[in-house]
Amino acid sequence: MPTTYQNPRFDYRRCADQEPGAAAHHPVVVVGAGLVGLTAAVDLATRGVPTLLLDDDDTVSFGSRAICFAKRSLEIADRLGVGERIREKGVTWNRGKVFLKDRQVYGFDLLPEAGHAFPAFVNLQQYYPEEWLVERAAELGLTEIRWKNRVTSVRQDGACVRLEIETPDGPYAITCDFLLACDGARSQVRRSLGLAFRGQVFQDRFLIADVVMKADYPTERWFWFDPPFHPGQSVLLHRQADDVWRIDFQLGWDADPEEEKKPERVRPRLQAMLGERPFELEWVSVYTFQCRRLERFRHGRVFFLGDAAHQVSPFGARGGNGGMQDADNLCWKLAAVLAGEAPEALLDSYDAERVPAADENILNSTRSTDFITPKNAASRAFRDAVLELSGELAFARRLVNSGRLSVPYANADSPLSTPCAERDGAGPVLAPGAPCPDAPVLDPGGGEDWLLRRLGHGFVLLLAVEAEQPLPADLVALGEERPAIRPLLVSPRPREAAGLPLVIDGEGLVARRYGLAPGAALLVRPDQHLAARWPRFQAAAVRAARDRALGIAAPRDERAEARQVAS
Amino acid sequence: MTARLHTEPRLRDPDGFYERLLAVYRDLPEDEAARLSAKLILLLANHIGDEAVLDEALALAGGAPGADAAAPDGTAPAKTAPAKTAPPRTAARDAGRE
Repeated sequence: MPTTYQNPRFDYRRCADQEPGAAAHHPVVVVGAGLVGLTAAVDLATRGVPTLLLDDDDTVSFGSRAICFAKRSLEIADRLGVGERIREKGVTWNRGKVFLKDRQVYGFDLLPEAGHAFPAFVNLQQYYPEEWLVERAAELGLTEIRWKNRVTSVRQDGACVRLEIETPDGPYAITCDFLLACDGARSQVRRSLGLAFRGQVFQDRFLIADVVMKADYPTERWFWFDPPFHPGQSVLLHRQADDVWRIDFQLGWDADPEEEKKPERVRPRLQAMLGERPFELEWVSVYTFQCRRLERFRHGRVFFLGDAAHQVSPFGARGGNGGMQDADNLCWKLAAVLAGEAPEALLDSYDAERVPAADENILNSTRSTDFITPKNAASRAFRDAVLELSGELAFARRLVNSGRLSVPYANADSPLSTPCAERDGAGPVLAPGAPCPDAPVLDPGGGEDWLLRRLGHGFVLLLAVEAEQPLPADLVALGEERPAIRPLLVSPRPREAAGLPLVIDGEGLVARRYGLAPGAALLVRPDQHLAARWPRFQAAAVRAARDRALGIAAPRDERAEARQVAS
Repeated sequence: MTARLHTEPRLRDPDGFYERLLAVYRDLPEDEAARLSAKLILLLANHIGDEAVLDEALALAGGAPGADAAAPDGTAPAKTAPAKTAPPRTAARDAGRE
């Protein structure tokens, strides 16, 4: 049915692993070449880690599916080399409106400040980023994608993971050191390991209609409660690329999904909304959803990412975005372990950081869903009361919940973070664990750039320097040891930098967003989250914080503390 | 322990208030009455503004052991809904994400 996009077909190829007695072993296997699996494979490739990526199909996503890419996802995509393509092709939006019946009750602006490389959201059909990630993986040359390779069974012992794979040429088996299950809500890896989800099913059905039309609606998220064209239910409108519009109709639990998908049922709903405007149906889907997760996302040598690990309601755009952040969180850790720079215990921090993140996403999307689809007469009465009051009263507008849109998890309790000994400057301080905000910077030569692009893929020490202040002597050594901590000097004005990388914080936005006072030092993790911060640079403290971020215990310090306590 | 929710008599004219309260509900069908109650609760909750007080009221009204069960800091124990374990369902592969 899609008319604006032709799914590419990737050929199945027989490989040497399928020869009798091959018994092939791979360090890392990713299952599922969807948005999350491709993000993980490309992230690992940028870190020099080869992967085998298995997919049961021979193409990218059928239908637009996840369409709202949040700022953090765009920043991750940018680090992987596809962020600009998503922005250019996609539709940028920051604003939303909420309507009750035929009047607006609420409006919001998600990114009211300038000075970020990426906007709050870009809407784009999921198949585009997937296709570009397939291309990017090919460019980097470290990902072997095997299409039409369906994983049927997964077993693991302490030493390795064994996979049974079905192909058009019949089954074969391989082993691997680590398996990343990115195989979606119906994860075969999860079933094969007999792992159960815990959570809640929402008893409601929604109809997605992607339509192609020329429309002059502003590029905003519009959400209706009880609109005249679909009384008693909710409707959500989003713009996508190629003049495709996503319209999401709440149908109620009693709706028949097969009937509702039929064009003769969908068209009248759309005509009631769109009036005389001509449109073409691009893609139709009827869905219900759960808010639930696995108890743990790491099971020995197997890791669950994205929908395979956790599912949320679509309201808030927390599914695909949450999954990309899973990959962002896990891949640098896995690369560090495989490079021998970190102990395997570092991988436990994937659970410690991403389970609470999933809970936050589940909490927010559950609350939105409870508002949008009231469960009983009392919750409907409160919902309607909020909406009725919201036209006149500001306090009620804040209770209107049509989706709390994806923001990255702040990781406040991460075991990898070094707690702050003291606050190191005026203004709001970015706490360890948090994702690094972007800000405009200048090269010493005056060229414009973005801070996040300068952070790259490794550990970075951000050092706030004044124009005249001498540089610490041992900065260079940090950059030369392994794992390297690359210094990046941030100065309000051009200055001598002794050959070290320097950016000019011309607008002062780095200082403001990071709470940097002159002399402050910040350690940034390879996933561009903050690991530690100090009012003054001290090489030993920086090394200790890096080691902590790598899951390396600091036995000497703890013994010293224990002695002090004992004495 | 200091209960922050006032439960001692505070209304100057209880009978008069009660009469006015019933008057706004007079002749209302059930769903409209429920919506009116909801509006009233939301307006008063925002007026009170103190979530610890509101939590105490929720606990008291909801049949919890009341103010006696409030935590030492004056906040009532949070009522958390137990997570229901759902049977596995067919999660639509093509489920749309916002």
